[in-house]
Amino acid sequence: MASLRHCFRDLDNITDQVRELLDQWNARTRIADSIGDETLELLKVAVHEWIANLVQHANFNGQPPQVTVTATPNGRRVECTIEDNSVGFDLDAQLANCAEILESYPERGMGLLMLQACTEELQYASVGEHRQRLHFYIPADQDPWLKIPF
Amino acid sequence: MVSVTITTRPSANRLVDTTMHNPKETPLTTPVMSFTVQPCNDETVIVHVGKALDFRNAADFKAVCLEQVQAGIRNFVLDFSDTGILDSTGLGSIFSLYRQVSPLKGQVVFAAVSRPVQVVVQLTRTYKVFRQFPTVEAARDAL
Repeated sequence: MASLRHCFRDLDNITDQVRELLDQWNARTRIADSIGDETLELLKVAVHEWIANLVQHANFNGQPPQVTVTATPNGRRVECTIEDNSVGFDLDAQLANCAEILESYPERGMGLLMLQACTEELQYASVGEHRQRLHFYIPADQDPWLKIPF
Repeated sequence: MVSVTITTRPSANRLVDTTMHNPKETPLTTPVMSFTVQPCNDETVIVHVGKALDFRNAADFKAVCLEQVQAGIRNFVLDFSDTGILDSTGLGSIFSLYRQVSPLKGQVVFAAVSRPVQVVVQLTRTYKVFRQFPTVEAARDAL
């Protein structure tokens, strides 16, 4: 089944475009038939939250942004990679901090935790100078849960 | 009473370097983001959320809802029938509204929840906080 790969250079509209691209990918390959509609929706959630984080917080050090999204069906799960040319940050430390300070009915700080909750084998690392790579899987037949204090 | 529509349109789009994109498919477009506030009575409004409630328009949502609360509204029906995106920031803005109306014995309820929104509701278990109704009419009648 065909993979999806797309490079974006315009952060102003990437949010809607990546969502639309995933919908077109499903229309073309019927990926949801093999992994399930909910798994595809969770992929959209995970990609959206990472893109939102890039748009709001990434430091591209004055360079034109480049964000490449790759998604590949892999049995009963989808493998996803998002590469960008930002300077990067310590994701593990940020996740730990967000989990620690999450308040009741939180207004902020849920995005990366939401990404973590609906993915497996979440990894984020530098793959060269000003080149960062996020890699994760979205498994099918799961019921992920981000525990928010109510 | 008059409905209020808030509209946001992101700036012009530019898309390049398509590896797998089929040029025969519909070009990627940028939808208008808007939501509409429809009064029901002195204490209740319906907010038609529209295409998205996310980091791009959550501040607008908060501002409009705050204005309604200051005008005496304490019950909010959020209509998600057309909503394709609810993200963590959008959900945070709903929590913010909930924190404002709870001390006033007010309610925030969800109506006509779309599949993408339901996935976020399930992921965050927020159905424990916000009652859900199959239609806007059912939600309005329950308040």
